[in-house]
Amino acid sequence: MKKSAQAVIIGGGIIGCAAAYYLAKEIDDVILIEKKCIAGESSGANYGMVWQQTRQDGYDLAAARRSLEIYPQLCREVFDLDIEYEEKGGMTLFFTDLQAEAAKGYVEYKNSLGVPVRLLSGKETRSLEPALSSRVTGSLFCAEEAQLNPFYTTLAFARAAQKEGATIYQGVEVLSINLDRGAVCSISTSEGKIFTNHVINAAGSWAGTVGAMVGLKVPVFPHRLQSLVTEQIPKLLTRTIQGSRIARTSEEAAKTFQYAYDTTGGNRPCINQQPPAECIIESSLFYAKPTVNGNIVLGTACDFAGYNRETSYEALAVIAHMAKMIIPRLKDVNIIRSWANFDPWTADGIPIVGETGVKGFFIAAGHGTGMSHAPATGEALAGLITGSAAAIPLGEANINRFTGYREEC
Amino acid sequence: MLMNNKPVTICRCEEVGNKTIEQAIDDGARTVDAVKRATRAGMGLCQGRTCQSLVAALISCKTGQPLANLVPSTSRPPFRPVRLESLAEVGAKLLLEKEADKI
Repeated sequence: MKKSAQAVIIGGGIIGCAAAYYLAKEIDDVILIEKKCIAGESSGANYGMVWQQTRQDGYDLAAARRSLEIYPQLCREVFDLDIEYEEKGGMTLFFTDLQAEAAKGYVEYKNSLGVPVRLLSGKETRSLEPALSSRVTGSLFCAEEAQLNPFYTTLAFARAAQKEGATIYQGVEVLSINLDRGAVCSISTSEGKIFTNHVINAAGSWAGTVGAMVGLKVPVFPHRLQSLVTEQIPKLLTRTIQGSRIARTSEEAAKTFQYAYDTTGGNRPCINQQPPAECIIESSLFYAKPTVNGNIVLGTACDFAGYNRETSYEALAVIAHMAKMIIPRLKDVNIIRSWANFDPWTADGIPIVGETGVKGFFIAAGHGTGMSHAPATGEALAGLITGSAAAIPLGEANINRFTGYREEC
Repeated sequence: MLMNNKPVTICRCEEVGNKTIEQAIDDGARTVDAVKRATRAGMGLCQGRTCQSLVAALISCKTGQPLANLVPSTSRPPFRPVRLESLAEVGAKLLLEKEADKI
């Protein structure tokens, strides 16, 4: 193992690999350390959505839009692997006329932010996706959204980073991060010590464990998402679709498009805030992603269960029920596998990216939206470390937005 | 047998050959799970029941890791393919029981 580096990235998910690529383009001696394998956790167990319609105004949306801009260029010029990037648009379904009313205001709001989302009737929705049930009364459709293969995209970033001179160690665990007069000076791993002045915590749902190594609380929690995958079938869906929560009253309908990402109620999140209790059945939200190989990935039921990665019969059954109701032809299709992953969760739904009170210690974690954010995050973080101009401002994503953060430093 | 130069199909469900798997190992994959993510070996109908031990053997041959250290990929339900509808029926009952007013 190398004895020194200009920067060490902890975590071989999509954020760590993208950061490694952008950093290695600018500086020599970049090392990435991954305790399992590339895309071994959440980056290998998600729907590969590069969406903007569901992103919150500000950093979240800016990062998604910047990534939508960069991906096609990466595919053309950088990646030596087909990441199955397809700009097919994204669709959010709804199921009642009241929701169609609520959708009008939502579309206006999103359009004012520059998100080209359109309202489609039930008929228009089914002309794009004929397999959808007549229960679907309409949808929000955004043509400027894409889907990709999350394994291959993470691997493509890792390979691009290696081509730029980065070194990747898989199966190596970080044991401690050592400080000298308050600044990062080295890290100790299961394979030896590396001297470095820059450490990037890209450990996703394990960002808290890594933060604790320098005495910081990093409030990222593992949000367990369960999914099913079907056998390979002839084409049934063209694009990734998302269901909305059904609403029967106008109060419920008004909340149709308020996603559960932001739990702060508009207040600043607190560094000590714990995730809310969630009931798997009530928190399930429908997703269906047709993969290039012909499998359809179906989800999802979510809850907070610590690092318990088991799937539950209850959750899988509820996902199957939603799938059958929304895409009736799936009923005769075989399910071949289920899984649970830990989607990194933060209280306000926004990742934590940027410098910290510990000199040389950076964070790029808490992405429940890693596929939508990775290129923009990697690019901005590399800019921050090397001092070049940022394409998107990182200020809003800094950990100092959490109340209680300063007391800790 | 695995390491001779003849092409051999390792994962029959996803039609992944030994050359593809060896390339993934050369590219840095060191576990059955890492090979699966890079090549789709083990992602098909049988979920690696046939190929996992062969993939482990290839990794062991190429890297010198003892076979005993190579853990199989996480095994997950269902243990054989199951029609979505039979799961959905259970889901519908659960939702009724919870009186969750969902679709």
